[in-house]
Amino acid sequence: MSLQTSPIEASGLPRAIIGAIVNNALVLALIAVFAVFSFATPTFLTIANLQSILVNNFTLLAIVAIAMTFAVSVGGIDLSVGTAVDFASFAFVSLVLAGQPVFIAALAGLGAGAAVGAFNAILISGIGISPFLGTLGTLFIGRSIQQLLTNGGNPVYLPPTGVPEAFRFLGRGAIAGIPVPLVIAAGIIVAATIILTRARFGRVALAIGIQPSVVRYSGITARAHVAVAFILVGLIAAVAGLILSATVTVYIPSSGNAFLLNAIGATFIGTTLSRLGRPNVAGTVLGVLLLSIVANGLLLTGLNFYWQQVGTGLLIFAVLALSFINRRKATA
Amino acid sequence: MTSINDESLSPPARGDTTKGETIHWLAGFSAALRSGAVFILLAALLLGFTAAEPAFANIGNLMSILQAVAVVAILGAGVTVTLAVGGFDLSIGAVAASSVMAASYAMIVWGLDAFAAVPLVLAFGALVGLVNALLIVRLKVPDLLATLSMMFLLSGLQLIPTAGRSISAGLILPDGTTATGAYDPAFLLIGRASLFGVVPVSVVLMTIVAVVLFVLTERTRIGRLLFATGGNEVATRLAGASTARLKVLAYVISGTLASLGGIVIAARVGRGDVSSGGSLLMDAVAAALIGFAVLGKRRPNVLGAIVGAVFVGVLLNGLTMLNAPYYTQDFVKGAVLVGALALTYGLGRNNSC
Repeated sequence: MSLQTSPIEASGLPRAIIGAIVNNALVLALIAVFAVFSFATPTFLTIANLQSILVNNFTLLAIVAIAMTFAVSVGGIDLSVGTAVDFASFAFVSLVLAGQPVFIAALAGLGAGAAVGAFNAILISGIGISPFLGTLGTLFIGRSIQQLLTNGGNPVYLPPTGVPEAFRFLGRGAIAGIPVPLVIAAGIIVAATIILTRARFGRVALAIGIQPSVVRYSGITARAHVAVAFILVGLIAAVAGLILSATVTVYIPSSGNAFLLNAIGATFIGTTLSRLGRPNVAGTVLGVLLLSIVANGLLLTGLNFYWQQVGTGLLIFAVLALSFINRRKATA
Repeated sequence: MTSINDESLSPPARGDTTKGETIHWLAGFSAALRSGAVFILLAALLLGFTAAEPAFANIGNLMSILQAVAVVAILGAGVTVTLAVGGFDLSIGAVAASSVMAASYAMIVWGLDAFAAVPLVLAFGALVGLVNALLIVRLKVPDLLATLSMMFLLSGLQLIPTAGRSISAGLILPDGTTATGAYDPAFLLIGRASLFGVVPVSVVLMTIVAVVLFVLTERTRIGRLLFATGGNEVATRLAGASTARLKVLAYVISGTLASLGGIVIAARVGRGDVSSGGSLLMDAVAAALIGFAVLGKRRPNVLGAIVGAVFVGVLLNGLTMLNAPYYTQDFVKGAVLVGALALTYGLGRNNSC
């Protein structure tokens, strides 16, 4: 799917402009949405609100969506990212409640998320079930295990007083004025970009996503790479689980599934609108930003919450329409 | 759609035809064993539950199992058709849910009777399917993405006419007036009446859908072309079939069946509940996927989806009778799904490598 080869030198200015537009559809969509909301509501374009978009809407979704990007990179999808978020959150909150040090509890949380990823890896790489189906099974089983652990789905609350300082810091602290969750998200974005674009693992992963048999014939163990990718998905999603529970100081069973569809949406927006049509971290992050801005902006315009869903659907449609123009131009 | 298109993992008897005879025999034998396995398992479950709880086997309970799975089975059959063309319809749950709202709105706010409301809702489902298909065929949007955004769109749109409220008789509309209509008694029969006092109408509907779709997909030229499109779209197109039309057909069938499922729910519940249809998507997809393993076909098939839905229904009903907590249900669904998939892919791998 290499789209535009060279539309620009073909014929004159109009075509060059169209080429520029379709090449940067995602950035332009972001600017357009930003501009619309800035005019539509007085409160949108304020420092406080922009900060709130980044902290409340962007951070967690970005981390989960990057996890999803790894799954999509190897040609799969992970429907159980929410399960990894929840398991991490459950382990973290339970251990902190039991009086364990925050550091140990956090490690256990990451381990729980990685375990979900490892279970997926066994299903996908070990047994050979397709990612979509295997992770669907994990989603069901994970939801039920959480209900079993919590007597049918009772939230686990931390007492409002006596929460360890480190726990509070993870959720609401700030480093040099920047909220800690945002710092962590930024770190993950950078690390994921390096892994996918600069490391051998990333190149192999993307190659598996494009043509698994070629990777196998090249003497590379595709299965092992897929397994590692899915464990990474669980691990990264677990980070979101830790931040989530540190922010709200409660674990609510199956709450992580709320991220699933937005994470898929963001990843696919990023994939479809990137020049090469491949999963990429930058595209995913822009997709998350787009979804976050729309969710926040629609909220500020005073419309009912369900307009947010309609807005998300319409947004994905609009972005896809743009990418369609893009593809037409390429094939014409 | 790379995610589900695992042709490389499960090619049905691919390879050279010279030594095909014996392999066919072996494949046929193991397939027979595998297809039988599901029914043996089902029979064992029925016997086990009956032994543990004699009330399980009475006809009323068996019918209530079928009634409980009817909606999931109908939706699962629809998904199966889109899986056959190599697609995937993620919007069925939302279509069913918004059909519940549409049916309620048509009768309670517009005062239509059953004979106007049902065709209207079915047409709505078909229209959604058509839009999905146009996005996929014309705009070349990936199936998952197109139907996903349709899902978002519908689950928001269905709340707008009533400002997020559930619809029941005497509903107060957003503009302050009170709705005057009510559920048509004839409409409620779809969800509550039984044929000869034994077979619920929803089970009859499920059976009709199963038979019609089975004949369409397994016994007609269109059916073979549907599977051919899923197997190799380019080859099918070059062979002279209009793959675009076949895909449109598949998505329209899936959308229409989803709205039929919504009608059955609305008729059983008797009001337009905003939260209906929550787990329908996952359940229907699970039924369709369990169907891969059933009958040893290792591909989407309508009967498999129905049997898959019934299998899960029997298991859940039996466990409920044995006083298992309700939240073990998802665990059972997940375990059955993974087990069925391991059976399909794990055993299939031996042949392909």
